[in-house]
Amino acid sequence: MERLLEIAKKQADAVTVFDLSYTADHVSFDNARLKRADSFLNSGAALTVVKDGKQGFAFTRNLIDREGLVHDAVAALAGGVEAAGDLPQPVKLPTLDTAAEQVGGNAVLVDECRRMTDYLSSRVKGQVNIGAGRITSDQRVLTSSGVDARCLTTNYYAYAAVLYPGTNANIFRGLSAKAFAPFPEKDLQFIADTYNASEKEAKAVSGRTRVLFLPHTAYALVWRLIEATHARNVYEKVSPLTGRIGEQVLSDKLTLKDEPLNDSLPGARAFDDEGTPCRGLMLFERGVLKGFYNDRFYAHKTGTEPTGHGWRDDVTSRPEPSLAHLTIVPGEHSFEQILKLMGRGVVAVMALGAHSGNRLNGDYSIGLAPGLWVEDGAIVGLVKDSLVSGNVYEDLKKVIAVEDRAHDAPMGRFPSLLLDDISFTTRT
Amino acid sequence: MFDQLQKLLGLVRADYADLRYELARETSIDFSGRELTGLSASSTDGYVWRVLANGGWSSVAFTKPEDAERAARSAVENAELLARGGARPVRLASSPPTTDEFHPKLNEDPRSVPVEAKLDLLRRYNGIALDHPKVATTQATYWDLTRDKYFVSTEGARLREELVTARINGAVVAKEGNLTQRVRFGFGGSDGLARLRGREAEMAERAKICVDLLGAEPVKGGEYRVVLDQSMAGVFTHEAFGHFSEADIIEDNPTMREKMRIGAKLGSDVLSITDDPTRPGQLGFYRYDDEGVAARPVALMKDGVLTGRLHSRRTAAEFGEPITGHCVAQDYRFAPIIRMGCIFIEPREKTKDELLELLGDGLYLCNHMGGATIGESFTFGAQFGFEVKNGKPGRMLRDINISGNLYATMKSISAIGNDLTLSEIGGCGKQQMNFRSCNGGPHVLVDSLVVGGR
Repeated sequence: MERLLEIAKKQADAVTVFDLSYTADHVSFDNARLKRADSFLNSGAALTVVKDGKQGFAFTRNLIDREGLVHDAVAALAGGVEAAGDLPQPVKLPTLDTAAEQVGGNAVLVDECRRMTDYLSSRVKGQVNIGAGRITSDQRVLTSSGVDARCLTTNYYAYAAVLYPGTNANIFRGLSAKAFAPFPEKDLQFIADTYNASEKEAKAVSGRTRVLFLPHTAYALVWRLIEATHARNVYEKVSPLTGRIGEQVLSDKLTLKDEPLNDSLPGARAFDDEGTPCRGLMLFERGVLKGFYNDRFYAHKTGTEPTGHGWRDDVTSRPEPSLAHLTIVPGEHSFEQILKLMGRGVVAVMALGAHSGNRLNGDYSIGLAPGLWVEDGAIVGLVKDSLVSGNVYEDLKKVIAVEDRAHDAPMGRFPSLLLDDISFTTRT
Repeated sequence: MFDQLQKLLGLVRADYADLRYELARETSIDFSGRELTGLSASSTDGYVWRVLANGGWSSVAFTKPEDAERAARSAVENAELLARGGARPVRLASSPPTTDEFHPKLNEDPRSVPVEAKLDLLRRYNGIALDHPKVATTQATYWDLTRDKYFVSTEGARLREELVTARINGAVVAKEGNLTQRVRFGFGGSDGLARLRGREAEMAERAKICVDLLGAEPVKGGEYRVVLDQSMAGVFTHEAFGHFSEADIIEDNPTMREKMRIGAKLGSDVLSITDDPTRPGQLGFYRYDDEGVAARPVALMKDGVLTGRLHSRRTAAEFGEPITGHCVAQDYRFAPIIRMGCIFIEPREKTKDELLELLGDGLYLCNHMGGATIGESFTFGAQFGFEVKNGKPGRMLRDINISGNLYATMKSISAIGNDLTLSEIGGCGKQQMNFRSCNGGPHVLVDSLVVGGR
C-alpha cells in the first residue's frame, strides 16, 4: 500500500488509499438439517487522487498492477468531479478492543447450530432455520497527509428462526459478538413461546390501533430518519429536518445516537473509511433533533466539521455519509410489560417492503410478515395479508413505551417500540 | 487463461470441482442535483471454487491467485464437514460439458464510447429533470459493466461468455412546502449503449409525474379491485410467483414444496408465466449460466397450472426434474444460486382501456417501487396510481403499497392485456444482487388486493 501511495503521489496533489481484506465463513441448517458451509477470502484496494481541485477514483480487487490502478484514478480526473474538503490530518486515535481470537474451524459453528436446532425442534412444530458465521476484516486508510490508520475487526453472528407453515414468515432473533458466544437461551425461549402463541390465525380488525414494532420492523421507521439526517439531503434542502436543529421532532421517549467508539459491541471503529477520527453523535435526544451526519465532502459543502461518517459499502464504492453504529437507547419496559400496556393491537414482527414508499417524506407502508394479533395483553394469533402505514414524523410522536433491551437489527441496535393510533389494514 | 484455470483445477481432490474466473471493467458516473459527485472506471477480477466431496457441496470465493490452493482446501474441508454432519448428500444432474465462447452482439459497445460522451449523456438527462421549477434535486447515475467470464470443470467444460450491461437510473425529488415526493427513473439493458440514447421524453415525463405527485392524495387503505400496469405486473410475477419457482427457495420447506407441485392448479385460467433468459434484446439475456448449463425458456405456468421450475444442477437432481440453466452469480465474489432470467406474464387479448372498463370502480396502480416476498405473502409499492370510476382514471394517488397472498392473488387475476413490456433495470436482492434480472407483463386486472394507507 505504501508503494501504491508513493506512485500515486507523483501524479497528484493529494492521495487516499483504502485497503480491505477479509475472510468469512458461514454455515446454516435449513429445516433442522445441515445445509451450507461456505467461505470467502477477499481483498481489494481503492484509490482517490486529487489534482487541481478535481478528484479521481478507481478500485481493484487484486492489486497486482499498481500503475494500472493509478492510471485509472488519474484518468478519472478528466471528469471534473470537485474535490471538496481537505484530507484528514494524523491524530492520536483511541485504542479500541475490536478483535478477539476466533477459536476452532467451521465444526464449531456446526455444533452451535445443531444445539440451537435441537432446542427449538423440541419446543415447536414449525420449521427451524439456523445459521452462524464469522468475519475477520483488516482495514487500512493511508493518506498523503500522513494518516496511516489500521483496524482489525472480528465479528461472530448467529440467528434462529421458526417459520410458519406455507411461508418464510418467521419469528427471529439474532446475535452479534466479537467472537463465538453461545446463543442466549432466553432468545431461543422467546422464539418458541412467541411462535407457539401465534400458530393459529387470528381475526384482526382494520382501523387505527396500537402497533408494537419489533427490532426487525423498527428499522423501517428509523430508515426514514436516517435519510432525513443525511448531510446530502440537508445540503440540498430536501430533508424535512433541514433547519430544525433543537426542535422537538419525535416523542421524548426516543433517543437515537451513533456510537462508533463503543467497543463493547462488535465493529467499533476509531476512524472512518476516509481516515477521519470517529466520534459519538447524538441525532435525537429525548426526541429533540441534535445533529446530522456527514463525510468530508458534505462537511465542506455544509460548512461544518466532519463527523467521521464517511463509510464505503466495499472497495468498489466511494465514501458516503452513513450511520454504521446506530442505536436507539432502550427504555424501561420489558417485552412482557409492553404487551400488557398494549392491551389490544398488532405486533409487527418482520417488515415486507420497508424500502418502498416515500422515505424522504417520512412515509411508510409495510407488509407484516407476520403480524401477531394481541388481545388483553396477550398474543392470540397470526395476522396475514396486512399492512401498517403512516408517516414517522406523526407516528413517532405517539410512543407509548420503549423496550428495555436493544437487539441486533437491520441498520442498528434497536429495542421494540410501542406506538399508539397507527393505521392498520388487513383483509376482511 | 483456460490453461491457467485448468492447472488450478488440478489442485482439488474431490469428486467434482469447477472454477469460475471473471475479469470485470466498470464505469460509473454520479450526479447529485447539478453537482457531479463521482466518476470512475475500474478493472477488477476474482475466482470462485465449487466442489463436491463425499456428497458434501461447498464453495469458496477468493481474489488472489496465490490463495487458490488455500481456497480449494477450504472448499473440500467444508464439503467434507457437510458430508460428516448429516447434510443431505448432493448429486448433480447430468449436463453435457460444453466448450464454447460467446460474445453478445451489441448496438454500440460501451467500451468504445469515451467516458466524456457518457458524462454528457447523463448530464443532459439530469438537466431535463432539474429544469422543472418544482424539482428540488435529483440522483442520477450512469453505469456500465463488462464481465468476461471463464468457466472450467473437472467434467471437461471450457466456457467463456461476456456479459455487457449499461444503464442510466436514479430519482427525481420534487418539493413544495413540507411535502417531498420522489420518483425513480431508469433505462438500460444488455444489448449496447444505443438503448440509452433518445430517452429525453421519458425523462421529462418522470419529472412531470414527480411534480404532479405533490398534488396527489394519499391512498385510503382497504381491499380493492385493481388494474396493475406492466411494471407492477412484472414485479408481482417476479416477487410473488417467480421466487417460488426457484427450486432452492422451496426445497427445504415441505409445506411450500407440496403447494408448488408440478400440475397443481394455482392460477386463474388466463394466467400463463414463462422465464426465458435466451429471449433476445432483453436485460436478462445470457447463453450459459454460471455452472456451464445452456439456458432455455421454461414455461412455469400454463393456463393457471404449474408446469415448470427453475433449477441448478443440484436442485434438478434433488427434484428429479430437467436442468434449465438458471444458476447465476452476481459476479466474481459469489457462488451462483438459482435466479430468474427474464420472467413475464404471457400477453392475451385485452387492451388497457378494456381492462379499465372491466374494472369499473377501483384503482389503477403504476410503476413499481420494489417489492419483497416471504413465502406466500408479498408486499410491493407503486410510485403512483389513479382512482378509477366507471372505467375512467380520475384523481392521482400516492403512498401506495399492496400486500397479498400469492395463491389467492393468482386466482383473482381475471383478465390480461395484450401490451407486454419488459423491465430495463434489474436489482433482485436474493442473497446477492442481480442487476440483470428482467421481468415484465402486460396490464392485468386483479379482483382483490389489500392496499395499505392512512
